[in-house]
Amino acid sequence: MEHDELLPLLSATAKGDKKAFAELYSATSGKLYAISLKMLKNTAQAEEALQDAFIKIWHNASDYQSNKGVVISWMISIVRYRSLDLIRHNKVRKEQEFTNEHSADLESVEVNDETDLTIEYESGNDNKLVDCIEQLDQQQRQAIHLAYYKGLTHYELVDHVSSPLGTVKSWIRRGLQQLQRCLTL
Amino acid sequence: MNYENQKLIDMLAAEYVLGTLVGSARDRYSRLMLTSNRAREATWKWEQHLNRLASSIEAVAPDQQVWEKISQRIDNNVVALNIQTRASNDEDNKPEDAVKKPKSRLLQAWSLAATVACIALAAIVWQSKTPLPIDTFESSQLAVFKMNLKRHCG
Repeated sequence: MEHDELLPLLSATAKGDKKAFAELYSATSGKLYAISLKMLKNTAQAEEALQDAFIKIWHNASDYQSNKGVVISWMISIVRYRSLDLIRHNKVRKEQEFTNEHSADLESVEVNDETDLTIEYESGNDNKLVDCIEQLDQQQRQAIHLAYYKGLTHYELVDHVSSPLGTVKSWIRRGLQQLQRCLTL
Repeated sequence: MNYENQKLIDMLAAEYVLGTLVGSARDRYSRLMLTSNRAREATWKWEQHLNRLASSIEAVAPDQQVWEKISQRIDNNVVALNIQTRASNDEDNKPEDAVKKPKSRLLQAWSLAATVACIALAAIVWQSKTPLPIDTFESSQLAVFKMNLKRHCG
């Protein structure tokens, strides 16, 4: 999934080439679906996010510019933002369902959620990022990972790590600042 | 909030990409991105930084029907777009000249033919003013014809 392989496919997609779009889907859908599945923990919703993301990619392929990063990063952002929207929407809906005593209406197959706080990052693909991530405090690293991979908000992180809101916000902010310094060096 | 402050923009962009910027703050930042180059560029930079975290996630093949649905939605859009474009083209291709010209030419031809016929008939009638030995029936028909000619040709 190299940038040089994806860029011609995206360019052709921007011109309405459906065959190129199918190839782009074939090359990237596994990764994008896995990201969405990890965040949403629900196959039906992850598929919905993937579908919506690819429709957006089809329509907005011509908006891509190289200063938006490599093609796969641009595509990951699209699927992540759609997944975040669905997570937030689900929370509102779940609250309403609880209120209406319909909370047992779970039609979709739930994906097992790893409840431990193991850092999921694997080294090998991006040494610079690995180094920078490893330089973070353990709490900062954990908070950033939980927010990125699971789409948790500050308030949800408070519940997840049993620490006060101010502390969690500070972990995130300082962790991001340190990460930025390290990555731009 | 001072959106000229680069550090502030950087942190808002980072939390926007991470997903911890939520609710109205997220909406405000989304709006800011529409007007601020700084905000957009900060966001793209953070997307490049943080999306590297996704490199560790193992790909999972989605169900085949996901592509089928995407493909169907695109085809429907294309069909809808074509229909819309055709309708719009039909509107555009209804220039009055294109529609009216043939009609106008036909009318002109008819008008010319009618004028020629009137002149020819008038000449015949003029010649018929010289007394001829005609019977009463023919004479009455000629009178009717003259009246009609007067009415139609002025």
